[in-house]
Amino acid sequence: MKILVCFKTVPDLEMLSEEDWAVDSNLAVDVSFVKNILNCFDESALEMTLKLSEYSESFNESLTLTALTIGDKKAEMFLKTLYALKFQKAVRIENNEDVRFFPEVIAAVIAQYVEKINNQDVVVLGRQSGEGDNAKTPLLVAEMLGWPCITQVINIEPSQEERLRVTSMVEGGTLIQVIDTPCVLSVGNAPVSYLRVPTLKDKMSYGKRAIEVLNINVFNIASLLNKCYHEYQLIGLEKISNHRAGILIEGATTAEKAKKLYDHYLKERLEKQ
Amino acid sequence: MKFTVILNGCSDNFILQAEEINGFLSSNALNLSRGHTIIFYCEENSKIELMANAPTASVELIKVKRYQPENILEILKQRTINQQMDLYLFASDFTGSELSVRFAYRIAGSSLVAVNKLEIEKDGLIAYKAVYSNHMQGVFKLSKKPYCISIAKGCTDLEAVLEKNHEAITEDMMDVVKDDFIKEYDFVEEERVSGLAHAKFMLVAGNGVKQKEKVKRLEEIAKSLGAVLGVSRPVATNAWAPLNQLVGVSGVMAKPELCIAVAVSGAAAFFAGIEKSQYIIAINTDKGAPIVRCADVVIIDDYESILEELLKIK
Ligand SMILES: Cc1cc2nc3c(=O)[nH]c(=O)nc-3n(C[C@H](O)[C@H](O)[C@H](O)COP(=O)(O)OP(=O)(O)OC[C@H]3O[C@@H](n4cnc5c(N)ncnc54)[C@H](O)[C@@H]3O)c2cc1C
Repeated sequence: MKILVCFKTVPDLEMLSEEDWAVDSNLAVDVSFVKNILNCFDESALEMTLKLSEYSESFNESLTLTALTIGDKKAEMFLKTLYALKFQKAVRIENNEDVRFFPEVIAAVIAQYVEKINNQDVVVLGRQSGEGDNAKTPLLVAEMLGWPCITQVINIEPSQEERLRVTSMVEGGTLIQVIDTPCVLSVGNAPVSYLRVPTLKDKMSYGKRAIEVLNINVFNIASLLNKCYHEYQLIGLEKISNHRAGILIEGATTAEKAKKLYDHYLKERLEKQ
Repeated sequence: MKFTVILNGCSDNFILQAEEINGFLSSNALNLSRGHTIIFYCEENSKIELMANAPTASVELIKVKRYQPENILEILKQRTINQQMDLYLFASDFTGSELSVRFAYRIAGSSLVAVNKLEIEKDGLIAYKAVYSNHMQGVFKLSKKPYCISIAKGCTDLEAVLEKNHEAITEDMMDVVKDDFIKEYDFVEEERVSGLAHAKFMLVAGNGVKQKEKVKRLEEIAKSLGAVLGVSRPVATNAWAPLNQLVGVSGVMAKPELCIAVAVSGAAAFFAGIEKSQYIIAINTDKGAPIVRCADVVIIDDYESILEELLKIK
């Protein structure tokens, strides 16, 4: 079974200070100086797929794993790690266009990659990522490929007859479904949060392979972008402010602080409950 | 603006969806007489209640075997094919956002997920939504009809439906089957409801608690204080607490009178889930954590020592 995991590296927005949130004339925020991290839902997707791959061996089934990202060179560090974690293929589609709010473009590139370059049985993606917070890419990939989609996925296991057992969250509980492929899986709040760290030995043996880099122009990005501009555009961006009083309770000891908190701010409120 | 509301009547949260959409319609001045509601349902005996809670007088009840998105999308397309609709509105839950995007694609419209507010213009629709992991509000102009919008969780007050003169048609579409890729299907009901959405007093814990045992202790502390325990994303995804206790944009948007937030940094995507609290007390070891500026009262200290002290005093 061939599985493609698509991931995005994102700036660690929590590192920006208040003043850093200035909006420029292109309605963008300068995030070039903060550390790039794996989008948290994509990180779960990657780790979940590695777990599936290990588990599949006991079913005598071997998976071919490809990791794909669309973006600039900053992502290569993560692709190398994925090689070291035994992904068979690590691909970066070079892009420098502003596609923050155009998941339609990203989805179309992924769908073309699957249809024309590297056929797959399953595509796994995180449900949402900042900066765009569009929450649309996996859904659009499914639509463009004409495949079914399962959302809020929290676990993927192998099953008999080349099928998958997929657990997902739904209103009021969880669904466990055994499915035929092809399928798109959109990963939600899974209890699998961190991508494992490769061993030094694996880093040396596998982590040095060349990353496959494709140019995004191959995917007709100019016309994709043009289509999007005619459908919708970002026209404004402003900081959400949540500031409150932030009264600091001081005291020499923990006990003193707790007492002040209780007497002045908590007692009355607790009594009202 | 001619619009259709799509609701999932197979779900236990139907009333919440209906009241939320109803609140959204009134806060965005959408004229109810131009609206229509489609409700999917599974149980014959739920029909009267579902209809009574439709935000618009014009209602279509569609019977399905179960609420499976592939089938629902196919039915929606069939039922709306010849309609000149301007706007389709979907609920704020995950099924709402999924349908809005996939349906828009199928009918060649445009979509936006988690929208807070709409403004109707002659040549388009202005939609507001949080971006940059909830640090920023983005304003979008959509120019391709039909617009398929799912609303943002907690973006509006719940408003009970007042409409009394519903006119409903019923359709049985159980024979539309697009989900034969599913070979086995098993729904496991949540063991216990978290109660967070309606809690008046909430204690919410973040990654700074560092281990599962500490979360257990926090459950006890919450209980003796009379609070309901919520957690941030890392606590839930580390499996230190059930996923239904997750607070934030990807979990519960709570509105307690009192919220004590401990060992949580206050990342914007989390904070959106406690933002509507009347009063927020934060306990954190880091004076520079974002939660410090977003709380009403702050203690800079180890959360555990403070909470244990509080229990002694109480
Ligand atoms: C699209 C998207 C959606 C998201 N949705 C959500 C969501 O719904 N909910 C959510 O929570 N997150 C969400 N996140 C993740 C969010 O951005 C943060 O990563 C997350 O909230 C951080 O959790 P935390 O504050 O518990 O952990 P950390 O950032 O690790 O913070 C831990 C805090 O604990 C403090 N601390 C450590 N030890 C102690 C101690 N002994 N006593 C007191 N304080 C201590 C530290 O100073 C620190 O401030 C989302 C992210 C994205 C990209």
